Amino acid sequence: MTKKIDRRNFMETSLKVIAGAGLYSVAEPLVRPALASKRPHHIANPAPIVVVKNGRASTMVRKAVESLGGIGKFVAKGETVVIKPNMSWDRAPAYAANTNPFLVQEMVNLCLEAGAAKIKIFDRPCNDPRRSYKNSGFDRVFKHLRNPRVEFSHIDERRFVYTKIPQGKNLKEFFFYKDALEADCIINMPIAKHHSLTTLTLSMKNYMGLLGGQRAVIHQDIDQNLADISTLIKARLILTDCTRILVANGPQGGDIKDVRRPNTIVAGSDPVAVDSYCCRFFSVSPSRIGYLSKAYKMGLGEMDLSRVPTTVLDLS
Amino acid sequence: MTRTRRWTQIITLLLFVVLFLYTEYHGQDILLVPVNIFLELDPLILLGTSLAARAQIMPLFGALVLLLFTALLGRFFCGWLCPLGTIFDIVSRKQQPNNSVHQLQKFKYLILCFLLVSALWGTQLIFLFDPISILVRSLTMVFYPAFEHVIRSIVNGLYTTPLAVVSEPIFAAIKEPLLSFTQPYYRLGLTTATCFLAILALEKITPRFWCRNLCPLGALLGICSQKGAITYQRSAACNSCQVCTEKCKTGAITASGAVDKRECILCGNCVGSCQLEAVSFALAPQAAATSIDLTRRQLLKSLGAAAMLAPVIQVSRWKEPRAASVIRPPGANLDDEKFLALCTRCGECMKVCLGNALHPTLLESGLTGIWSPHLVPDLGYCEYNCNLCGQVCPTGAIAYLPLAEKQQLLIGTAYIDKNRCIPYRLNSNCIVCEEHCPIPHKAIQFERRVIQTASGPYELLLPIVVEERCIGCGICQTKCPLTGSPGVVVQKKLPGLARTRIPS
Repeated sequence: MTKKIDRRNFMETSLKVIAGAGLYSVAEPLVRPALASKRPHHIANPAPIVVVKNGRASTMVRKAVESLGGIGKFVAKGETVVIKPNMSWDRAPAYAANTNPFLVQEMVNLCLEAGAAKIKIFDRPCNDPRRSYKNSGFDRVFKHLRNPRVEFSHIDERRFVYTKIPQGKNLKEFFFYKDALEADCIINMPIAKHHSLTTLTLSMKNYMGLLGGQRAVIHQDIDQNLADISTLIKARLILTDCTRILVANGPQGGDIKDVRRPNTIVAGSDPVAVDSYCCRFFSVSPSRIGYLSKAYKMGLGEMDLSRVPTTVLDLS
Repeated sequence: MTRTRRWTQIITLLLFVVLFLYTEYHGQDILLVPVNIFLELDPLILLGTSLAARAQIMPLFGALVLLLFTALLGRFFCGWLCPLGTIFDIVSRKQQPNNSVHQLQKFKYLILCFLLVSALWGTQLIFLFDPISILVRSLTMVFYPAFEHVIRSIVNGLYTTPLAVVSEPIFAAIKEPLLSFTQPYYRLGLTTATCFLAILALEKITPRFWCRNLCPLGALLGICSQKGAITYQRSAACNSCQVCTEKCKTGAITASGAVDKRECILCGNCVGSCQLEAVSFALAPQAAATSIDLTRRQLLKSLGAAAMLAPVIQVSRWKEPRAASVIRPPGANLDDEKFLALCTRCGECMKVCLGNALHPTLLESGLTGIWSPHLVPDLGYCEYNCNLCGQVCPTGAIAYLPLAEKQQLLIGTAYIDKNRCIPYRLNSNCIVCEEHCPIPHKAIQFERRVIQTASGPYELLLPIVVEERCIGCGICQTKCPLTGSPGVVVQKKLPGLARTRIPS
């Protein structure tokens, strides 16, 4: 049956459409956040995170790993482990520009206990590599370690391989360090710091130390690029150093006044959740960190901390 | 005696090489090894630089000790210790001296005379002829990098082959003691190599051609050793066969058996070559014989020539308005002429520089500025926590500054090239320069500007240089991700120019 289009009919329908559109345009902005929050970026079963504070560095690492189910959950016997701390800057530990070496030391001990065949520790520093390794305190802890299973070394420029990032949205391929690509297990050990472009540099930005070539080009559209890198490099365990944090003039600082001492570590296997938790030391909402939002949207982790099982251990 | 001398020479040369290899950061902020000891013992450098700069150079007073011993004993340094002399001896070990020509020997005195008069006029040209400077410079800028390049290309060539199982452990073992942290390279490598090889080629004419005829250090030591205690002597057993005269490396022995002490380098070839054991060195002061007909007239001519030529060279410098625009290492004398007067162009600062950031100039700082060090931020930057160049400089041309002082010192200043800089040109954030800026409160700040884009508002961070904080280390320029000319450029900041403030 066809309805006859007469003048009345036409005007009625037109008004209905206009009114409907008008109503929608008024209501839509009000409804949108509700719709957005229901948009399924949530991941099904967010991995737990653990927050340990006010203890000795080594104790905190041990407690954190224990709480997550023990090192055996992350490192199996005979595996090759890459531990990636941040030792990027020629700054002493007090300036909170590099990861606390004692945290890494204890993690190495745990990996040895788990029976890892090889543990590699390296970074591609921004300052002179020798000076950075030395001044960050890592040389003192690791250089004279005579354990054939622990390899503490400088980057070998020949070992960067141009690698495709299949899930990359913006960054499709780049130079990555072979050892990291081939490792059975990556343990990411960043330090939480201020950064003028990404607001904060946390675990996801720590992977820049695995990049070769002219990696500074990553900085254009850095948020998406970091999320893209996280689709390729996936750490089994992330342990973020918040024993000291740098709240301004990052990522290398240089003024002790910019350093705060929450004396906390945050660990877990979900990069977005761990990073989101660290934001609270800086009183920053995780949604303000571009790369976290992007990674969340790509399903790389959970940003809604209310959904993340969190254990807080205060050792004081 | 010949054997003792050879061993002394070899050990000294090895010491020289080891000290050279130690001129590198090995995890110590303060170099504990006196890596520049050979340069500090060089009296020619002491004399030339202190004359030219009208300065007393404290560390070089060791050179006076060498002069004193030379006056007591003779030119033992040339025959026994000089690393360049040892290299000559190795190169021409099979060659017979050509002692038929003596006329050229006076040239070294004329050169010395010329250099010292130039220095008196303020133009330090010692570096052109000082043997230790030449050797250290040539090693630093060419031969050592070339050696390293050979090793690295072999190792890298084998890297992807099964032989890497053998080559990599060897490489790992030799890397720390023998090689640099990264392959060094220098501008002017070819020029430096040519000069050195030319000197080496002169050995074809006669062994130690350089030492006999050209070396002004030899001339200086020769003048001091006229009354030296150790003297060549022929005993009664001598049958005047003249073998020692022929074998003498420096042509110091006349046919009649007299010796010119200024020429004798105490090498002992005469003693070793004598079949009758009639030649010996004795502790007997003997009146110096002269084999060189250096007349007062010639000396005066040379003095006159130097007195004329030095100012001519000086005023023909590239005195362009931008001539002083090269960025000197931190601690370099702010008066560039004074810096050049003190700098002996040994290249120690360039060898030790962490990021291979110091390079020799060709004509950028004038004709007489050749080989002097300058920072090339496109190639490397001055590491904030490092003051090694000031530690190794033998003449104090680069003063040794305590770290806190060095970190305050202005060597240049950065400016943003807004036509190139990514945020200005492409409306896209970058901030690489800012994150690398080592100044605790950042000499690079941002002007924040919100722009509208297709995907909504976007906060643009436009870098601006806070000149009152910038010290000109150059890391921003080194790390700028642009290919081609960088978006941030460091230029020399002239002393005395008031630091401008940004409007606050």
